[in-house]
Amino acid sequence: MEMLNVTNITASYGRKQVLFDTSLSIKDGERVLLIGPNGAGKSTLLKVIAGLVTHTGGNIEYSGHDISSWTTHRRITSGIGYLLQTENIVPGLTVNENLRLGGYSLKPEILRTRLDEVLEIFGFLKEKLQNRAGLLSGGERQALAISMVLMKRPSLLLLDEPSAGLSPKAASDVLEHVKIAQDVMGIRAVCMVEHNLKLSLQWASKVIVLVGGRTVHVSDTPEKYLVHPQELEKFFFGELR
Amino acid sequence: MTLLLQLLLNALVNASIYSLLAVGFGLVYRSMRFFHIAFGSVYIIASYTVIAGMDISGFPLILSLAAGVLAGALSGVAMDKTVYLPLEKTGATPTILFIASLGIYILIVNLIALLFGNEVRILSRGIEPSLSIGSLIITRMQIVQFLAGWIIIILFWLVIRKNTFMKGIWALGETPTLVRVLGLPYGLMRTVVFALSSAFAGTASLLIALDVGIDPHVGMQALLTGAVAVIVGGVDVYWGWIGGAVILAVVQSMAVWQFSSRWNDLITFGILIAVLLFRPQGLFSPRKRREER
Repeated sequence: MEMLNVTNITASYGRKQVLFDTSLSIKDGERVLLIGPNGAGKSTLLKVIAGLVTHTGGNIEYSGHDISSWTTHRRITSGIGYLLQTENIVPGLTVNENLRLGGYSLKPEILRTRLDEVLEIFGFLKEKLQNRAGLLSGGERQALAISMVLMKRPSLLLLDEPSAGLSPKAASDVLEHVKIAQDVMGIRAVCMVEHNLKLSLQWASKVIVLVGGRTVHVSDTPEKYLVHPQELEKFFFGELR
Repeated sequence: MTLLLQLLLNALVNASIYSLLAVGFGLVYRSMRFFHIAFGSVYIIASYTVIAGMDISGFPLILSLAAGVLAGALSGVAMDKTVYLPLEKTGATPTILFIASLGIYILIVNLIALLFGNEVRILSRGIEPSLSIGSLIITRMQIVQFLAGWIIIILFWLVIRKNTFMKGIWALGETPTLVRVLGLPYGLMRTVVFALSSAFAGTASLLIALDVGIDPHVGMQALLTGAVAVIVGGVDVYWGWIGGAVILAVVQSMAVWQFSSRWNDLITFGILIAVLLFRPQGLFSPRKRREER
C-alpha cells in the first residue's frame, strides 16, 4: 500500500526553480534512499513534504489525504517526522529538555513510555540526560536529534543527511540505530537523503535518483549498486563516493 | 554612609522595575531575534490606558491598572499580528523588522501626545506615606514596586524552568525551524511571547507611573534600560537579564552618589559598550563552543 505519493511537484526559491515535476512514492515498510548531486533538490523535496517549502505545482498525498495545503504543524502531528540537516537540536537546553520538546503535546504517561523507548534505542544518551545538548559530540547530537523526532513515533520518517559531518564509525552507528528504531517503534516507512552511498545502499530497500530537480531513476534493488557502482555514476557522474 | 545605604536601597527598588523591563524586552529579543523598539510604546500604552480610564469613566484604580496591563499585552500581540508576522512571511530581515518597529514606536508616541498632551500625568494623588528603617527611608510606593517586581520575576522563573512550552519559546531563538518541525504550536508561541513581553512592560510602566507619573516620551528610556540589562547580563540566560538589571540599577545609584543623576545615561551606555567589547556574550552567559554559535 502506498503511504506517500508526491506527484509532479514544482518548487522554487524566489526566481530559481529547484524542482521540476518531481514525483516520488513510498510504500509501507520501505526504506527509501534519495540520492543525487549537490543542488539536485533532494533536501528541498523533503522540505516540501514536511511543508517547510511551499510548492507551486503538483500535489502530495499522505495516507490517503491530500496534504498539499496542510501546515507543517498539521503534517507533523499527523505522523510525519522530519530530521533537519542542521540546527536539529537546541544547544542551550539539556538532553532531557530536548527530548521533552520532541514529545511536546504527548500525555505525561505516553511521554514517559516514549522516553524509555528512545533511550532504549540510543542507550548512551541515558547518562547525558542532564548535560547541555550543545556539549555533545557530533554522533551524540545526531542521535539526540533523531530521538527527538522519534518521540512522536512518526509513521513516516524523513531524514535529511543524518550522517553528515560524522566519522565513518559514527555514521554507521546512526544508520544502524535508524534501522533498529524503525523495527522497534513500528515506523512504517523511512525516506533518507544521504551522500554516504556505501553505507546507505546497504540500508535502503529502494533508491531514487534526483538530478536537476527531476526524478531520473528509481530502483527496488539498491544492493546491486554496491557491486556495480558505475551504474549509478552514469546518473550523476563524479558525485559517487 | 547613610546616603550610600539609602542609594543602595533605592537601587534594589529600581532593579525590580529594571528586571521587569529586561524580562519583557528579553522575551522578544531572545526568541524572535530582533530589536523590538515598539516595546517602548507598549510601555506608554499601558499607563495611558489607565489615564484614559480614569479620565473618561472614573474607573476604580485597581480595575484601571488591570485594564492597563491587558491593553499593553493586547497592543503587543496586535503589533506582531499586523506588522511583524506579515513582514516575516515576506522574508523580512531583522533590520527591516527593526525599522518597522521604530515606525510603530514613533506613530504611537505621537498619537498619544496628540490625544493626551506632552505634559507629565500622574496616576496617584497626594503625598506618599513613607517608612523609616533606622536612618533609611522608603515610601509605600517603593515597597509596592520592590515586592511586585521581585515576586513577578521569581514566579515567572518558577513557571518557565519546568514548562516545556516555555522551553519551546526559548528554543525559538536558537532553532526556529526545529520548533516547527517538532510540531510545536509556532503561532501560539509568538502570541504568548508578545503578550507576556508586553504585560511585563505594562506592569513596569504602571509601577513607575503610580510613583512619579508618565509622559508620552519615556518609553524610549524604558526600552533602552531593558535592552541594556539584557545585553549586559547575557541574552541567553534568564538570570543574566536580572543580573544586568541589578548591575545597571546599582551603578546608576553609585553615579548619583559620586557625580550626578545627569550622567546616568553616560554610565549606562559606557557599561554596554565595555561589555560588548570585552564580553560580547554578556556577563552571565557561558562561553559557547564554536559548533554552538
